[in-house]
Amino acid sequence: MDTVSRRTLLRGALSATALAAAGPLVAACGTGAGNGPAESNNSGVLLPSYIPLTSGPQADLPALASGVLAGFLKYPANPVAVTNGKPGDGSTVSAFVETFSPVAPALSQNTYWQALNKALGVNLDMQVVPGANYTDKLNVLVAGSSLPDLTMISGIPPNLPALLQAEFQDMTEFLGGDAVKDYPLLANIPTVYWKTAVFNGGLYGVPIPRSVMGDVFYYRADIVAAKGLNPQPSSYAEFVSLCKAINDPKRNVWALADPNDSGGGGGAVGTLQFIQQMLGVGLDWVHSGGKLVNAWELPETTEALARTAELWQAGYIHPDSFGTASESMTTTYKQWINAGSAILDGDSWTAWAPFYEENVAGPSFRIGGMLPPDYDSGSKAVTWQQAPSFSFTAFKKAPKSRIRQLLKILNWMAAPFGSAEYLLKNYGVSGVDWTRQGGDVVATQTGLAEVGGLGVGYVGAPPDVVYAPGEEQATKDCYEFMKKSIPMSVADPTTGLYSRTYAEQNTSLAGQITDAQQAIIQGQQPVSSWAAAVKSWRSAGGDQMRSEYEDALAKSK
Amino acid sequence: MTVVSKGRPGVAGNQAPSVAMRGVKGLVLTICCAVVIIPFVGVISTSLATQQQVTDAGGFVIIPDHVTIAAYRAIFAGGVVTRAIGVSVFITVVGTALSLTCTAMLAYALSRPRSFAHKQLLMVVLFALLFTPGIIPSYLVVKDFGLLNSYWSLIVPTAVNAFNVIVLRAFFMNLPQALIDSARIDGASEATILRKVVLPLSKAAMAVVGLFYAVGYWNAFFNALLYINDTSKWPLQLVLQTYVVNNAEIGTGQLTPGEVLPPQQSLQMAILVVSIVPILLVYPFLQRHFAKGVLTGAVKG
Repeated sequence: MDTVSRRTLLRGALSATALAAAGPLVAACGTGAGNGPAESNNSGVLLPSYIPLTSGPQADLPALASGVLAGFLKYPANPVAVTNGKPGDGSTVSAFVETFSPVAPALSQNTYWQALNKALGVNLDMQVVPGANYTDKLNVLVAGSSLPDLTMISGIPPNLPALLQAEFQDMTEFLGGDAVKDYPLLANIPTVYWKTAVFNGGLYGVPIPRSVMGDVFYYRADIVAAKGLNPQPSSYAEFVSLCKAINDPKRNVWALADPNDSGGGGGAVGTLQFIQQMLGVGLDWVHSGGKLVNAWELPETTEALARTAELWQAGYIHPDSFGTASESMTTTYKQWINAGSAILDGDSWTAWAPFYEENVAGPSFRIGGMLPPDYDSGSKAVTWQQAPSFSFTAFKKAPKSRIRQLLKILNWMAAPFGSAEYLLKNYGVSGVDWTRQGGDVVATQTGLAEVGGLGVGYVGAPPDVVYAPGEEQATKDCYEFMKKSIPMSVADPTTGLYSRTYAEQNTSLAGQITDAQQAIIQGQQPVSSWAAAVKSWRSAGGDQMRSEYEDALAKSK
Repeated sequence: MTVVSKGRPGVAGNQAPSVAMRGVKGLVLTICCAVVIIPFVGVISTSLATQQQVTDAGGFVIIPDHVTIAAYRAIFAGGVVTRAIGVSVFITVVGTALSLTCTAMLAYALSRPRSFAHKQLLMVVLFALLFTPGIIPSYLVVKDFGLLNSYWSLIVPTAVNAFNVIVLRAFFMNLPQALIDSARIDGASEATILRKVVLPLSKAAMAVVGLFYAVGYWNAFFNALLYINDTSKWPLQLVLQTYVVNNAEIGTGQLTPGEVLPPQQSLQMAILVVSIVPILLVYPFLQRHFAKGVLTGAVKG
C-alpha cells in the first residue's frame, strides 16, 4: 500500500472510534473525525420484489399482509425439500456472526455441522463471537482487513454507512426488483424486512427477519381467570383495579414485575411504557409538524411517569424489580411470572413459547397478552412496532460470480419453516440432534450443544413463524394477539436510519434516562425533575440525534 | 497467649476476656465467616438444584433438597468445555513458564548496574508500564506476526509484564552483591549466577510473580476473543463466557427458532465452580511462599 487509499483512511477512522470506546482519555480526539459519506438518497433504492412461495409447507394459521406471521400448531409431519441439489461449489465460505448460545463443538465432533456442509456443498467456516463483544471483534476484523465472506451487521455499529461503502458489496444489481427471482427463497422475504439493509442509497445485504410486532404485555391468564377477573381492562382506571385485585404482598404476589424495563428506547415494554402506550405515545421518535419529537419530551410521558410512581407507591410493583445498571432483569421477571410471584410483565413476543418451556405451575398454566386500553375517553392507545429484522448479512466485496455463489447459499438458508432444509439448519440431524415426540421436533442434549452455538441462523433465515412446540393453545393465543396488536401499532420513523450520535452515545445517554426514570418511580426525585433530565439528555446528544435523523429522513423521502 | 497476658496484669486489654465478651467475639467471627462461606455454599448448591427449586427459591438455593447434576452435564455435553480446559491448562502452564523465564532474565539484567544499555532498557520497561497499546494496534501486530488463530497469540503478547519485571528487579537488587561477586570470582557466567545463585534465593518472589502470571493467563479471555476464530481453540474462560454473559444480555426475542436457552441460574453457578476450582487448587502449594513474598518488598530498605 504505497498511497493512502480511501480504505486506509476509513480504517483509521474506525480505529479511532474503537479507541474512543476504549478510554475516556482518547475519546476527546474521536469527536474530531468526519461524518463519513453523507447518507445518500435511500428512497430510490430498488428493493427485491416480494414473490411469496406457493409450494412448500402450508401454515395452519396463514400469514397476513399486515405483518401477522404464519402460525403452525404442529411441526409439519413430512418436511420436503424446497431446493434442488447442493447450492455450493465446494469452496470455503466464511461467516462472522454473534451468538447468544454456548459455543458449539468443533467440526470433527459436530454431526450437525458436518451434515450442513454436506447439504450445502461448501466448507462452512463459522467465526462466532459472544454477543457482548460483537463490536470489538468487528472493529479488529475491519482494521486488520480480515473480514470473512459474510458478516452479520447487528445493531448499528459506529460509522456503519462508511463501513458498508468501503468494505461491502452493494447488492442492488443482484437482488433489486426482479433480479431476486434467481433466489426464490429470498424473494419469499416480505419487503418490509429488506429495508433494514438499506444504506448509502443501496441495498447492503440480506435480512434476518423477525416480526413487526414489538413487545407484548403478558399476564398469567390462569391466575387472572381463577380469580374471576377481566384480563382486558378498557381504561387505565380498570387497569389499576385489576392490579389492586391481584396484588397480594402477604403471599408474595405482586401485580407488576417490571417498572420501566431498560427505559432506553428500542421498544422494550415495562409498566411505564405500557402506560405510555395507553396514552398514545409512539416509540422513541414521533413526527410532529414536520419535526421529530422524542417520546421522552411529550407531556404524556411525564404523566405516565407520575402514574408509574403511584403504582410503585401503592406497592403493586415487585419490590426487587430494580436491577443495577449493567444487569438485565428480563430473566428474573420471567422467573417471577413462572413462579406466580408477579402477574404482569412486558417481554418480546417470542417469549410466549419459552414461558411454557419453563412452566412449573402444572397443566393449567396459561399466558395471555394484554392490549393497552385507551387511557381514558380522550386518548387512543397504540402498540409499538419493532425493527422488523434482527440483523442483516453483508457481503464482502468480491467478483460477481462469487457473490452469486454466496447468494445461493443464503437462498438455501432461507428455506421456510417446515421444509427439509429448515429442519436440518435449525434442528440438525434426525436421531442425533432431535427426535419426534407427539408430532413435535424436540432437540436432544446433543442438538442443543451443536446447533445454537454455531449461529447459522444469523447468516440466513426465512420469515419467522408463530410456533410453540406442544402448546397449540399458546400458538393460537399468540397469533390472535398479533392480529389485534399490529393494526393498532405505530412504527418509529427512525427505524433503519443512521445517526452517528446514536451509534456512539446512546448507551450512556439512555442509561442516564433510565436512572432518572427509576429515581422518579421510586420517589427519590419528584416528577418535576423529569424535565431537567430530558433537557440534559437533549444537550448531551439528543438534539444532535434529532437533527441527524431529520436529515436522514429528508433524504429517504 | 494467656501466659503472656498474665505476666502483664497492669494492662487491662490483655486480661482474659469474660465469657460474654468471648461469646460476642465468637458470634462476630461466625458472622464474618458465614458472610464469606454462605455465598460459596450457595453457588455450589444452586449449581446442583433443579429448575423447580431455583424458581421457588427466587434464584439462589442455599440447601438443595434434590441434587441433580444436569447443569454440569449440560456444560460438559459435546466436549467443548473439556477441550477448553485442556487449552487453558496448556496456555497457563506454558505461558507461566515462559513468562517467568523471560521476566527473571530481564529483571536480573536490569538489577545489575552497568549492564548493557541498562538505562535505556529500564526506560522502555517503565514506558510499557505506563502506556499500553490499544486493541487495534495489538491486533495488527499479532496479525503481522502470523499468530492469528494460534495458541501463541494468547501467550506471546502478554508474556512479559512490566509491573512484574519491576517487582522482581527490586527483589534481585536487594540480594547481597558479595554473593554474586564471589560466584563471578569462581568463574561463573551471568547465566550460571542467575540459575545457581539468584533464583534459588528468590523462590518466594518467583512464586508470587508466577502466581500473578498464572492467574492472568487462566482468566484471560479477551485476547482469544480477538485473535482466535476457531472456537475449538478457545480457552475455558471465553467458552464459559458464552454461557453466562449472553443470557443476561438478551431477551428471547433474539433467539433463532429452535434455539433454547439453557437453564439459567444452575448453569451459571456450575460454570463458576468449573472456572474457579482448577486455579484454586494451585493456591495451597504456593501459600507458604506467598506470605513471605508479599512481605518481601514491604519492609526491606
